[in-house]
Amino acid sequence: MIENSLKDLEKKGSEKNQPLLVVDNIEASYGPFRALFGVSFTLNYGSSIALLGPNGAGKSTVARAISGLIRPGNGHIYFRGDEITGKDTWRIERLGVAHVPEGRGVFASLTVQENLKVFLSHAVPKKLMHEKIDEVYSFFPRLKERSLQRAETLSGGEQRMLALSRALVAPPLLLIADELSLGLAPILSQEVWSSMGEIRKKGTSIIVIEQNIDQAKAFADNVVELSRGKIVESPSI
Amino acid sequence: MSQLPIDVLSGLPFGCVYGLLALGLVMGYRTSGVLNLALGAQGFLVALFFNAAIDDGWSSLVSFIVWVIIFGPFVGIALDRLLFRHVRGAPVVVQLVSVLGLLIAIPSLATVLAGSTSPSPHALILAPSTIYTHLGGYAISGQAVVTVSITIVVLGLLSYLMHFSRLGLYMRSVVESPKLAELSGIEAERVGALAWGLSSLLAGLAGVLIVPILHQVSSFSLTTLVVAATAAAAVGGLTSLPLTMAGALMLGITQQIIAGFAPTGAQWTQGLRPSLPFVILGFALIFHPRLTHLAGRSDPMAGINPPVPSLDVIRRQVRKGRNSRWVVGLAATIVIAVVALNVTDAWAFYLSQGASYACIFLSITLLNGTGGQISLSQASFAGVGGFVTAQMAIHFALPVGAGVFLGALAAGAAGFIVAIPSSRLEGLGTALVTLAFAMLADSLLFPLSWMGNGGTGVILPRPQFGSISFNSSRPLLLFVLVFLAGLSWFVVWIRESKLGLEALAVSSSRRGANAIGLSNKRVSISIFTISAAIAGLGGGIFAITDQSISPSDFNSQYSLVFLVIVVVLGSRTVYGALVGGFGYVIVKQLLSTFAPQSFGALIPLVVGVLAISWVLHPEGLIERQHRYITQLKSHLPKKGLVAASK
Repeated sequence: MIENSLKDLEKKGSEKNQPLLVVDNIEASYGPFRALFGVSFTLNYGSSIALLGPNGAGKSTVARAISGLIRPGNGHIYFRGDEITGKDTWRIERLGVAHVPEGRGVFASLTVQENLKVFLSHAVPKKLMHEKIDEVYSFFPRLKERSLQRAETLSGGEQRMLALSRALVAPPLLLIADELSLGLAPILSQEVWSSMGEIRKKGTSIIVIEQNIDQAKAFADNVVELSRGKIVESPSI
Repeated sequence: MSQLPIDVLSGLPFGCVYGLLALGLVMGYRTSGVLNLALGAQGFLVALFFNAAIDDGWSSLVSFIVWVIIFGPFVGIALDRLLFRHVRGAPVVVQLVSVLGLLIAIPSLATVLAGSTSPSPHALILAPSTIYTHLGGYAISGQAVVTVSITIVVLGLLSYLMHFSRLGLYMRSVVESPKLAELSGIEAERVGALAWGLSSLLAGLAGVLIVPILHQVSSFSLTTLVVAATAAAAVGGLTSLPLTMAGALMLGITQQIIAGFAPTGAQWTQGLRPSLPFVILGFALIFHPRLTHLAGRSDPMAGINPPVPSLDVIRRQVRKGRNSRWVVGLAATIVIAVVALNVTDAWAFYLSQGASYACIFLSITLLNGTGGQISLSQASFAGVGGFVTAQMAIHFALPVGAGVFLGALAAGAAGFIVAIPSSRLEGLGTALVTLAFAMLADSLLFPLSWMGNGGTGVILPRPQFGSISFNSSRPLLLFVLVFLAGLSWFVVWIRESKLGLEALAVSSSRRGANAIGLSNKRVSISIFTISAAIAGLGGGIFAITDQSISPSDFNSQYSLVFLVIVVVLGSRTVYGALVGGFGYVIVKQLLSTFAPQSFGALIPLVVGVLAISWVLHPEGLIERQHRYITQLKSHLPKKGLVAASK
């Protein structure tokens, strides 16, 4: 079960306006390819950041480094004051970091319902599982209609909704949403952004990675612009 | 009671053992994407210790708890930690070679640990030959009761686990994408280890149950059983546990029916029963809708750890000019002449053998290095080439040279026949079809009188071209080396020809190649056929060097060893095949001459460990060294790798 939930934070009430995530001078490589050169930024509780930049700028690499999918070669990442650099992905997820990756982000061979059970398995208590799944279906009725279908049969938009559903019904402390609207029709894209708004209302801090600059700027409190693995602009941080 | 029901009942225990192994295969495959053909070797290991402990005075129950229940899963978990978790999501050839490494290494390790004396076979719980009851005319033995009961319990537990438990759901999510599962808080490595532990437990159970039926503790029998069990797993599409079990029972029962009804005496009917699983495997692979796209396991997070870029990218930056090729050719000619004229007759013979293996290995260089295909039957094609060469010389009095040519044509034709179904498949599917062919060649084709002379082999004379006789080994070595040089050039030429470039395109992306108008089937079948013909040439050269050929020279296990040797050294370069061919013979000869006899068991262990370690450098040892040298010399990788990333 997730060790830190938003409810725990509310009880403490003292951590607002404090840094939730500190990314300090991280460098990362894919084999011989250097992807990040000393990226640093800070994200406070309840706020949101848009990571912007062209293809290959290193946006997704920053997200992967935070969620433990890749191990930074240098630098440090702190979450709620504790260093999480190089920790296992599943441990970081259980600390309250939800990462919706770029692309499909769902288990294609599992049914919609099975996907939800996997996504929520460590986010909600077992006895609340069915209740939470019903909550997802109330947000996205189309997923209920397709609950016994394999996720690969869903449209791109429905797959994104499925991937986001965990954050909707069991809000994490930090959500990293990577290119969620990429390739979606405008109406579906709007629906995805509206779901993101719902999640933010619940107090979740969000890192949103986008190529649609206007949409991202409209959504996020702060903007970090990357180019070739370096921060080129972070005016409001 | 008529014969049929009796055959059905007597086939059940066999079907159950097939079923346990097949369930183990499916469990491993569903949770890691790796088809663990080494499961038989794991079962052998457990059965060996179980029976040896009883020989030492342990009770069968204590031995069962210690070796099957505790040690069995431990082996699976240990292998997961050492190997399987590192090849999850890796290319099929990487998974396959590492598993083949285990298949080769485990029996060898067991021999080193437990000694070469085989323990007596012991039964579990009930006395195997005691008849407990009769059903119609069929006497139900203790072994049948135990085997069927354990299988029913295991099937029930597994079905519950996979379909109704949280762990089963985790297992299925981990197989699709371990990283995505970890993003959901699932500890993918622990889940994978549990699955491998279960799979290994099933293998141990099957090993312990089959030993009293076979009356021996043999790694070869268990390995063959696993390949046969693959047929049952294929019937279940490598996913469905009930269908897998049904396929296994059908297999065991049909084999008994064939044994009961097939006419006795004819050579082909003797081979029919052991061949059945491989026929079923071939048909299942070709016609089962789930199996035609075995390579298409798409991990949405696969892009996070991109594979090592091909050396070709770097090489294109430093493509050798024609002049340097002439220099290499001239140097090779001088080396050939010097070696051929100065070695002793005995070493001339060994080196000729090495050259014939190198010819066979070149077929793998072409097929895997250029075509990206995996074949587990190259030794069988070599066998076809060798036998046809010999039979043409003996029965039709054809010159041996013409026989080698006809042998290559026959191997090419066999390759063409195998290539047609395998071209519909990808990756693992192709490997399994070729494995089915290799097993069929072992049990049905090579024992035929007009092929392998009823299994006893064929003796043939050395060639004679006009007044030049090759009866002495040194002229033969010269001839074989020149032939090998020509064949190496041919393989390089094919790789750089239009067909070679098309094959590279298809192996890189079948969809992409289709999109630019290439026919995947035409390209795959062409490369496969040429590769089989080259293996046939190698088999012919082997036959004339040895002046004899028998089925044991090219049985299916050699295909596995050959593939391991070539890819570990490097299948993307002809040097891998050349070093492999000569190295194979030279090391074998040096060890048999200078090392103590006990070292014999260590050779497979070393080959196995090399195969397993190949996971760390899938480009092959030779290419790896080449890469380092290239990096040291010119710092070109930087440019090459940038090119690869674009």
